[in-house]
Amino acid sequence: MIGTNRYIGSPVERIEDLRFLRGRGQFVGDLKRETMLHAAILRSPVAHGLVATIDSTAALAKTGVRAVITAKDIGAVPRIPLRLLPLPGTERFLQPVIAADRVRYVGEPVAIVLADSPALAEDGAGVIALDIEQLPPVPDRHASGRREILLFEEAGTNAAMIFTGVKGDANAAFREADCVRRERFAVQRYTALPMEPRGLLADWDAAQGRMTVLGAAKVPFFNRDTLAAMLGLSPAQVDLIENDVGGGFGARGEFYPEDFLIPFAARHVGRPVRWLEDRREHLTAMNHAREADCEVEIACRSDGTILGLRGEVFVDLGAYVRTNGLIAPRTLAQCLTGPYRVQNVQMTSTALLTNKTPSGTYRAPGRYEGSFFCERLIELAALDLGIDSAEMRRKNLIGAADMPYRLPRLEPPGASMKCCTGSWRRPSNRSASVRRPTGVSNV
Amino acid sequence: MRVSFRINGDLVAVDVEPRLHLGDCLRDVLSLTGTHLGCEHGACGACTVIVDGAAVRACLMLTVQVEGASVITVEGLLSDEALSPLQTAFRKHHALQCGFCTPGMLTTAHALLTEEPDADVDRIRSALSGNLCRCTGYIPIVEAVLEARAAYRKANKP
Amino acid sequence: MPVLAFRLATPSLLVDLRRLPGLGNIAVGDDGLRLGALVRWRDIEDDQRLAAAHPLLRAAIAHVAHYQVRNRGTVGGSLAHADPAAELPGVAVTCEGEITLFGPAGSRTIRAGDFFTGPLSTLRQPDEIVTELHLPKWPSHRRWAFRKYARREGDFALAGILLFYDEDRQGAVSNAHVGVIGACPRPHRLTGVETLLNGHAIDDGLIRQAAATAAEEVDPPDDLHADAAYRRGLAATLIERGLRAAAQHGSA
Repeated sequence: MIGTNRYIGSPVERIEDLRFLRGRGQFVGDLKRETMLHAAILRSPVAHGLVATIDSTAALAKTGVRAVITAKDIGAVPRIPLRLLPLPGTERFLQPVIAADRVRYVGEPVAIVLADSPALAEDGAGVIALDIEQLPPVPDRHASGRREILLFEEAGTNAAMIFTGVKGDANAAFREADCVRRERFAVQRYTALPMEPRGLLADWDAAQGRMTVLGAAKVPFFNRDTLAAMLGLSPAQVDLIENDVGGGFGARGEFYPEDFLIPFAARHVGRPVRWLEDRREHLTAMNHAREADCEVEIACRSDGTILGLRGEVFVDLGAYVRTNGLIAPRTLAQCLTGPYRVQNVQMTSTALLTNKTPSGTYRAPGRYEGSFFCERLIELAALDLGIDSAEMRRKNLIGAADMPYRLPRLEPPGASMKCCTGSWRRPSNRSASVRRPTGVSNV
Repeated sequence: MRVSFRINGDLVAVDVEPRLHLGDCLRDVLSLTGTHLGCEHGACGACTVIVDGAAVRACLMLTVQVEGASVITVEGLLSDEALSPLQTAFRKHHALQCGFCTPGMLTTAHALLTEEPDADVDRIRSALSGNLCRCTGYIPIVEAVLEARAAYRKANKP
Repeated sequence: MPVLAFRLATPSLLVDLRRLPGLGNIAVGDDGLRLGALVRWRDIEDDQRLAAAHPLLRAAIAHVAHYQVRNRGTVGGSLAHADPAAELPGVAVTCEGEITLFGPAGSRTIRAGDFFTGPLSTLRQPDEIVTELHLPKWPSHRRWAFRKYARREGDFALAGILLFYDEDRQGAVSNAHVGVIGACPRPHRLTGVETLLNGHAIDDGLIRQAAATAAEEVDPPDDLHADAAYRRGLAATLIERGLRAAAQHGSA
């Protein structure tokens, strides 16, 4: 039969592979501009402190160092807006693009050194005299919740946001249940770790009043508009260009401090500036993710029907709320039940600030943590009930008849996900033929 | 310091700071940006090049250490515009996504198969264990290298 | 190089030893095995004589780092760097090797057991270089084992054990040498385990006792990768597996 379609069902080879295989990719580190300077970023070596002085004298005296930029040179330091879930109250916890009088995590940018080569820029950064009066840090969400030390005194709290997801009457469901299982779970801190660390190459054309930035990814339009506003330019004067990108995974591409600092530096010195992150820097500078713990309980009938789920989740969000930092906490409050039909839900998810690298999205934000919490709880409940856990899952899966499926109502309003619609086939019975599966999970 | 060596068959001489590592020399001085820097401390393998026939990490060698040596980078794995059998196998098996680890995978596999065209799957996995990939999950890379063996066996026959 | 990349050390002068003659040899003789400081792991892997001349060395080196690193790493570099989880220092100490140094005052030889003083610390003076490692001759009927545990191939050992023993005419263990890497600040011999083994025939009971003794005898650090209790447990398990393998097959 002659089909009209040549692609679906065929292993189509990619055109970009031709350049990647030949070593002719165009990652931002492969791009250059004549007369460009190289930037190195001096970052806070302490988790929490008040910046007393930044003395660049020795750095500026070093061969090849052309400039050192600090908050003073920027003036009114812009703060990074939220791209997703810019809810009332979050403006108190936004990250300034550079530390002025206070640092709140190891890795927070404090100064930018511009020099003739990356090594010379690092030489310069190494001799900047940074005097920080250390403050006691908030090392975890428990300390954060105790509020003995606040990251933002004026806010009076370290809780950046509290989300609640409510559906039906969870308390009633738990009273009526045949079986209740309550547990604590925790997921550790992750980082996306793409193989290519970040980089930017910014080129300011003073004659035309145009800023061109190479090394963008994922959300160049939002970032372009944000950068333009920060630089006092119109969006039409700013171009963000995405070339080849060595992995994103939800972490690369968001608006980071450097996305302002490097273009600013280029305009400040009137020369193109390239910054390439090294791996050690990357580990403190790029969004972390997933650090969360919970105490949750499930209510079931003795036949394994899930009646309700309730509990509390605490997310360790790091030092600031970054562009998409609230996604995971929100999703944990609203979608912890995953693909299961649960009519009664009461979940509270609190995003707490600590003196760590800020968190953001990473591969199924909030879903990874939520899946673990929910699936593990189902597994334990099935054990308690003496029924097969795969069977218990099958029994409770949302089916076509449940569509459109109503998610718990989320507070604060405006943060909600849309309801699930559409249909899908139940998973096959393959697991039945696998000898003693240790678990079945749906993500 | 002046350092001269062969790069992909051509004799070059460069004048570099002693502290410049080979990876930076290839990328910034010789403009061969195919060799990638993923960690600069020998953990990820993205910077793998072939020096005097052996796969090595370019970030763990100073440029001065290749004085008189023969260096092959990913750009030198083929001499014309056609893909080599190894590269063809990578493309066929979708052994790359973002492409950042790929040059290191290719040079390592090329060095391995040149010496050991009969390497079995365990040997291949062991030799590639020093190359990290965050995209593919490794299985298509191993399959591509397995498939490429045939071409190296043929090349080894007199 | 990573130390330089991280700017933990900023030497003003680096001297390439590559062109020093005579440091790249592997000599197999009646007095044992002599490895020049510039011998690379790859040279050891490729030298077929070592399968018989020192199988424990060969087995240990196969576990060093990764393929690419084994093309470059050297005997002298490993001994001078003295990482407590490194394989070669473990071989040197377990096998009662001797390390020769050369400096302005001339040459001197130090027993491996004394050479390593702590993590990344040795008796080498700043103006000396390592020139050779000498390992005693390895008899052909020796029983031995090398076991290393790391989460991924190529990682430094969370714990590793090296052991060998000979058998006396009654088939009992003699000359037992048991060494540990990774679960300690420096490679060292587990003399308590050795004393336990010597003079006895290997059986299940003895193996279990040896494992328990090993767990008590090691003094592992608590760090990000594993706590002390875990490393003790690892050491015990590795000793048990190593002894079983050595007893059953003669070599492993």
